[in-house]
Amino acid sequence: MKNKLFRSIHDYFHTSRGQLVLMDAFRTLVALLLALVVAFIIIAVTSDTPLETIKIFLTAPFADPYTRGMIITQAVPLIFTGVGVCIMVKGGQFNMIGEGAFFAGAFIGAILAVRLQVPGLLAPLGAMLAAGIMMGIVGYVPAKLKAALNVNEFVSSLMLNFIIFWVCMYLFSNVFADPDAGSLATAYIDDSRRLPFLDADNEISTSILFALGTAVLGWIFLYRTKWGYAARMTGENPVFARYTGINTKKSIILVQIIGAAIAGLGGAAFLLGNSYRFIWKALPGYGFDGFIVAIIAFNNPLLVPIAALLIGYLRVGAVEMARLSDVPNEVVYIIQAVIILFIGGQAFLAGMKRRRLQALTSKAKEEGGPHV
Amino acid sequence: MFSFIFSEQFLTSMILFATPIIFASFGALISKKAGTLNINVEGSMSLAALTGGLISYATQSWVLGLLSAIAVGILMSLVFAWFALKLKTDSILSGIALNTLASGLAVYILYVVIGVKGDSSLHPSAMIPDIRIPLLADIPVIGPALFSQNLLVYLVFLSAIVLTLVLNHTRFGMHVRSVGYNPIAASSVGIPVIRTKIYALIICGVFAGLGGAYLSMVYLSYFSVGMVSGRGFIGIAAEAMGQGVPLYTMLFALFFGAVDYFAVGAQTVLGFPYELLNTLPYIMTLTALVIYALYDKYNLATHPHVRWWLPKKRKASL
Amino acid sequence: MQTLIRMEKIRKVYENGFLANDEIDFSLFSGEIHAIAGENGAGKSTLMKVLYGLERPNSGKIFLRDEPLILRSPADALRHGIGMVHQHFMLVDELTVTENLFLGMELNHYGWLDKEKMLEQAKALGTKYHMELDYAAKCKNLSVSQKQKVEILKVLLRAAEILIFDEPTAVLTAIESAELFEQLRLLRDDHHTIVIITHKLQEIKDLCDRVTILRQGKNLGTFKVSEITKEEISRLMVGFDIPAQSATEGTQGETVLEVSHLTCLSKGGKKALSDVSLSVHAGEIVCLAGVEGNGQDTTVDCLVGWRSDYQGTISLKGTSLQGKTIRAIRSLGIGHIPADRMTLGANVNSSIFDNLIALDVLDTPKRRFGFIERRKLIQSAHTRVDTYRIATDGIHKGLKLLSGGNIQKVVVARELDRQPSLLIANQPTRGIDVGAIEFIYDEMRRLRASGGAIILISSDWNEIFTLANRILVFHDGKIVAHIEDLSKIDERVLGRYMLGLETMSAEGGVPGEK
Repeated sequence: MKNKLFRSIHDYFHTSRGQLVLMDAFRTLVALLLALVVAFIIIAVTSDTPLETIKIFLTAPFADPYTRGMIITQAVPLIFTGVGVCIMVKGGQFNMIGEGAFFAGAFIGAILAVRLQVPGLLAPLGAMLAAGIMMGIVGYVPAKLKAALNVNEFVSSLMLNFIIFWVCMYLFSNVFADPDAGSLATAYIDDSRRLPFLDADNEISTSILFALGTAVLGWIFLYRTKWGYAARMTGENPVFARYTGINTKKSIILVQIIGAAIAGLGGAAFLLGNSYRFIWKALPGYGFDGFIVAIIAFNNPLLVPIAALLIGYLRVGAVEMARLSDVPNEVVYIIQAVIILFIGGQAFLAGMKRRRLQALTSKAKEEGGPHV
Repeated sequence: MFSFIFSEQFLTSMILFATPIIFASFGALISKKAGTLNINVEGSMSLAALTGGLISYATQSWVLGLLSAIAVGILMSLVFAWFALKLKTDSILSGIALNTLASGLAVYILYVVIGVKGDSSLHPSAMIPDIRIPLLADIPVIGPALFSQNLLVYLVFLSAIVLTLVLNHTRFGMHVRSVGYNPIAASSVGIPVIRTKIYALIICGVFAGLGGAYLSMVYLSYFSVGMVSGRGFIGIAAEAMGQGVPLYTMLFALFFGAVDYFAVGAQTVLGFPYELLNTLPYIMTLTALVIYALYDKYNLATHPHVRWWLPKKRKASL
Repeated sequence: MQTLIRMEKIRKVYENGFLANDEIDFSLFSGEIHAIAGENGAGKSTLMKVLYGLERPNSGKIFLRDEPLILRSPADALRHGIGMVHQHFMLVDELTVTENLFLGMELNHYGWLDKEKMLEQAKALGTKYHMELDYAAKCKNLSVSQKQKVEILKVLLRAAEILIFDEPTAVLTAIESAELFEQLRLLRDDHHTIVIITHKLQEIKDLCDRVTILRQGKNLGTFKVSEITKEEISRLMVGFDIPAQSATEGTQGETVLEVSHLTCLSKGGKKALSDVSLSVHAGEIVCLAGVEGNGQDTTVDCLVGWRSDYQGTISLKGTSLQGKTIRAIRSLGIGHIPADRMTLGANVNSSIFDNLIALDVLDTPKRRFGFIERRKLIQSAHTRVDTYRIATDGIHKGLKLLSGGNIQKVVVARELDRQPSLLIANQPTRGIDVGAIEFIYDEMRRLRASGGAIILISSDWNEIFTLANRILVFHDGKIVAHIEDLSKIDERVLGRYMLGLETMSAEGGVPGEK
């Protein structure tokens, strides 16, 4: 039985498609290693006990159940925004709305969970749904501007993020602040109106289930529905998409709405899973992180959880390192950036990839039919 | 409200607020002219601000602080160039990534050097001096605004002129423009495309450095995490609307600066809510982008009412 | 006459396996105007790109005045006095004429441009070669023929002795072409040597001293223009005499497509199509013939819904197509094999599967709530791979792994397998290897036999006579000839139609002299 499994894995990697996957995985691995090397250099330069610090960075996340739980919790927002980015990028759009949508989604979630006049578990679920829908509507703005007027969605969504942020902050400070709380916060959310914990001691919430579910749904959308197909073709070759009859304008709008909605939903889910009040006073950065996750996951929603866990692991490592040593946790942002830069670099190890591809193509041609 | 807008203070403050945006927009302009828009201006400004602040504190010399800020700006541009041009990472992706890197690095370095994560207010920078031009500064209303400003403000006005001259009257400027408009044609006549782009990006880095230095050595007297707060991106938006003409770009950036100041001033003077006012610059940018896109799409340049305002185009004779 | 350039056994194979130049020998005398003739894809452009340093040959040598040359780039070529005036201009539109002329060799004092001096020199150059231009105008405001003049001057400014022109009259009107020819004669008298890549027989006769004819990558010979007739040139270009008997299978059934008074404008404001009317019936193949760019492609654009800004009517089996989306038109039963298969017809970034079922996905029935009928689609894909003998060992592989010919097959499979009522095949076998060509012909004949209607656009006369039942010759956006009986065709007259020298009279059949 085991042999059969190995055999099929072995065979897969000997096909041309498997080879390309192998090449990409290799490139990702090299990029990760390079990033870690950069990080180690920075640590070595600034820490008094570099080796000790590096060891903490790498091993602390696994040290005890609580830190392991932290990895999962950290991964939750990243999965949501990562899937959102996957869908948008596959559709050819570089839309940054995930950042603002996530923030607003959390805000909306926190408020509605308390105020919705529905029993028990329906409250957080309803709040999440509402957050998703509202952010989807917001996501329509940069999408429509791009489709109709060709306004660059990157800049417009960026501007919109700041606008969303300040509008939320206004509502936060002036309308929804809880007067009984010590510092700026929304009303306290009772346990019955929150997403239940899977493991309360280690703060692992059911939100991870929603996150994983979103990843699966995202994949199904892209690869098993006709709208996902249309989105992918539009993103990969818009001329071809139009030629086959796909309505590219609709596609462009759809993926951006979905991306924003998922981010909004994710924000609500994350907040209702792990917090009792909304207390953020700045954009948390999960939206931008979604890009890193998506890139490591090759824009495949099913791989997003793995990438998210990886980044979550790095994050926890950095936090622990900051706690237990003299190196601040911002190192992890540097690592993330380096990873994107190298993985995104098409010329990075491209020579190797190209030679492989050529070898495969000529092999295919030999095996092919009677041609010149 | 009107007396607020048309006051002398408004003019001065508008320029004060707009200067970093103008620097950012010039950085965006030169990089866009060369065909590779550098979105990393935001992050570069952050690191440059940090460097300028700290070095000027350490050496108590604003000159060294300024120079180090510029150096950092150039360095960041070169890193961007390496990734976007050599490794061929998509330039938008590179920009995003480097912005993350720069912000993270800025906080990191701040902590490592000073031990604080928020700002360097306990280690104030050596400020870049103001310069007052004697007679001209006494002209009412515009006098103080234009002739009693900081060194960097004069520099930004000078940059507008220099940039225009370089782009239109030097060999380098022509190479930059041709590389940006049609790199294939440029390389077909032997212009080194990548090298030219790198030079342009270096200049972009200089502007980012100046913008950053301004923030921590003129606008405030220290570096604060997140002090750039989107000005790099607003600069990019200003560039998009300035259509590649330094003068127009500067005007749009000034406009954004005005909106920015209005937001702050309106809160204290007129009592509008702080958070909502903060949305103004971004709403304005968005509106401007939309108007620009509408203009482009419906080709308003040919609409008779609009055409009246535009400079006459030279049609080829024969 | 002295031999200026000698190219020996030039062989060039492109990355996708296409053999463009097959051991070609070529020589150029100094002071002549030399034509390189051949159909599209014969290898003319490639040979000259090799001479200009844009392409490196796989093997072969080049000699300039008996000195061997290694050309690594156009800069090398220019250094030796070889200049090329490209078909797609290498101009920076935002810069002025003068700036474009001096690009890369600007006159300056330590970087500061000396604009007056450059303008002066540009004007002087223009006067010397009798080219009137507004040297201060931006290139984007110039007409096409003016832009071409700038390209020519660019090359002359860099002291090119040999000037290579790639299809120079493709973008010019008759008057502009005549003007160009005058310039070229003056240049020749001024001791320049000129090479023109062209497939226009009349031009060769009017202008050139000698002509080299290429076909399918081989050099068929160099002849003095005065010693060869247009018919002989055409025969060599095409391959053989137009056959006495041609494929006339297929019977005309009902009218499938009706086009009436189609008129539409091109980007420059010119009329791309003027009052075109045609009809296509079930069971026939109609060929839209003529030199490329005379309206055939524009007609296709209107038919498939790529553009809807035309006047006139187009109706498929009675239903008007104007204003309908591309999707709607497709579902009415129009298949389209585009000329540009790699960018338009296929998505090389995707899998074979994604490409094969592109049209079927959009037909997913509503009851599925958007979920694709995956099993059915996979089955369709497999069937297509088998039927059309696409050489691959898995449908989920990337399309770019296939050879060029197989990619074409994928496009053909996708379009043909749905049994369209009307198939538009635009240059269906261009650039395809021999094996796939016969296959595609068979498929098209099969479609015709089962009652489909086909519009064929082709510049390959072999192909046209193998497949077409009727031929409509396009020139300058109008149909100038309608040939219904292919057996009675006169090659000489056909050529005249294509060159716009003659128009068939309204009754058709009896050609009238212009």
